[in-house]
Amino acid sequence: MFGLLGPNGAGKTTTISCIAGLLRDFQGEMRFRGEPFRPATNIDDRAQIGFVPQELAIYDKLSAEENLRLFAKLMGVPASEIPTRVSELLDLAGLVDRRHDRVQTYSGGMKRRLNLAAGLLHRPSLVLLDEPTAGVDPQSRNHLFESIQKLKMDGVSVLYTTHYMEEAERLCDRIAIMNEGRIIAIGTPRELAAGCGLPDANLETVFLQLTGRSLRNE
Amino acid sequence: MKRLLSAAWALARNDLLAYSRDRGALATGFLVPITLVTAFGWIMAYAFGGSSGMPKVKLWVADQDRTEQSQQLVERLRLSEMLAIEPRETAPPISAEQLRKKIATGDAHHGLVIPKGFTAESQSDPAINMQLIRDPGREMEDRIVRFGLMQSMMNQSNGSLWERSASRMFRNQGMSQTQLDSLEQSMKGMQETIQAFVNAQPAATPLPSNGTSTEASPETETEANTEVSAPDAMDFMTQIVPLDEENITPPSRPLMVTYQQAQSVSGTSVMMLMFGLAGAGMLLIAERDGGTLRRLFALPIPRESVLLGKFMFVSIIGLTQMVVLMVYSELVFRVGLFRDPLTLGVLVVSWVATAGSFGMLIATFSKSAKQGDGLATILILVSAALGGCWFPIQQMSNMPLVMELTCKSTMTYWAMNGFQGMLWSSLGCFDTKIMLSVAVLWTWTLGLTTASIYLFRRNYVAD
Repeated sequence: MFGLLGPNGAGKTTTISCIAGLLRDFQGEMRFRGEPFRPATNIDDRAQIGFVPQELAIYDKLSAEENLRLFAKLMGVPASEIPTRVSELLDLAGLVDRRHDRVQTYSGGMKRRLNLAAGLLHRPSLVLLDEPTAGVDPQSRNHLFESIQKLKMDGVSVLYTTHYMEEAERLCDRIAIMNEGRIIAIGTPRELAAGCGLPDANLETVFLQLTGRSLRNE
Repeated sequence: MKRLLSAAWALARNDLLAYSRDRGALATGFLVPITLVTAFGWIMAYAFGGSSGMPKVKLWVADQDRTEQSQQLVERLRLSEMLAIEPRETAPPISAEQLRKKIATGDAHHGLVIPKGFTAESQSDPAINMQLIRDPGREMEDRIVRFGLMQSMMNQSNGSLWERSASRMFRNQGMSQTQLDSLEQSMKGMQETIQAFVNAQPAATPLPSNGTSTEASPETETEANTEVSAPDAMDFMTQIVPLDEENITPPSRPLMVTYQQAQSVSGTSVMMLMFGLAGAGMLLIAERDGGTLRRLFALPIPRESVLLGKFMFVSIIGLTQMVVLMVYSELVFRVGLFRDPLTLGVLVVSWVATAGSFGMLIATFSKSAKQGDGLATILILVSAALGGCWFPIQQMSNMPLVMELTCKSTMTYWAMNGFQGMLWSSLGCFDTKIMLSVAVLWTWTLGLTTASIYLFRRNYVAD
């Protein structure tokens, strides 16, 4: 699990958009597991990605089950497997009891959990999580952490962006810190701290040391 | 109190500032009304009589008499503020049979035949009357035609034609020669008074239709209309010009359908579908603003499938809307919408495709839902005004060429042309008029869809 940290406007969402295939006009090339990776133009490359955007990209007028069925179909999950996958992910999101209720009646945390589940239906090799815990209560956040850790145990590669340092520290094996569109440091949390000459410091201190304390207006 | 006003003014200033920075709101607030006022003013001025402010109704004239007096009568008719006489002076004359055919096919609604011998000083008995061939469904125009005819007759040859016609009418009613001579003396003075009165009448004065409007097609029915039946002066004056009437209705038009009903059903359906589908197309903007579009674009599906999906959605909504409107209209107005299901189906599908692609164009062009709403409103209302949703498209023949071409360049014109052709003139889908309308609508669809795909790729599929 790889964490991408940075202040507002550092380029985290832009980076994730490039990897998700939402941007095609950028310099350089992408490789995934050693192979050229062009999700913007190659549908097969996009099939390897499970994208969980920062916005709640689910349909309010549909129920959780209807949302998951729709996305499963769009992701190319075979029709015979859809009911099983949908049940698995409803269970993962803790929404089995509310599966038939319209999403507009859900709390923010429930919507976040469904948003995550909708990106995992096709069992992707790479999951892109763009601030998945923004604005949720501690219970839902904890549930999301457990779900993400389960992905990690299943061997799925996860790219995770967040503003919460303790989340990155808790979940990520390696972390990159971005500032003004560039990666300024990369390594395990311990390596990052050592690199700053603050071996006992927590990640937040390291982050502020690297990116500065000035306010960002972007 | 001071605090209340101060706070209210601060909030109002804030709203004004926000409003002045919202281009969409500014366009909706100022540009839309200005454009609509211009379009409506323009269209209504030309469609309904140019600078006179009165409706000019087309009257086809077949002059079989071909005397100096009959030609003078035609010239007098051309001077009428109420009538647009066809064929025009430079065009070849038309025969009575050609005129009948025009009315039967819906290309004309009123025709006047001046029979041979009509203007002769001494007529044979029974008297020779002019013949008014008409589509009985065009009641509104019928009154204007009769009034215009009477006015021209009274002005012709200082009223001599009118005096002769009036004498003939009273003779037919059984008046003795002595009484007729006495009447003739009185009429000399009376004619001047009536002529002055008639000339002062507004063209739009509602006049009762004289003669019965029985359906007569494919056969025709002729009746002498010489009976003074209604008590008011207008009725008297319109009947004092004796006319033999012949009604021609296209064979399959329901008897009770009026032109206004056909116009209303087609115009409302055509315009409201555009509103419905433009609104449905806004869902694309809602998906972009809501964030679901980003997720859809990251899925292993072609991006254009999102646009196609929306187009399919608006088409299904449009077809449903049209079917509901048509069934309702048929149940309530009995306009005979379903007497030719094939033509109706072809026209509905064609218009749904065009209106749907219009909705997609608005959605792919607009930067926000607000802009889309404003843009759709202005385009739909202007297009409806110019395309004939609110006035009979047949009135376009009174317009200057540039205006006529502008109207015909709208997609709504071709939808109206098709629906009116089917409803009013009973044309089938293999008729060239309907086929032309359908072909133009599909050309519009192709153009709008191509533009939508381009804008979708440019504005939605980020680079």
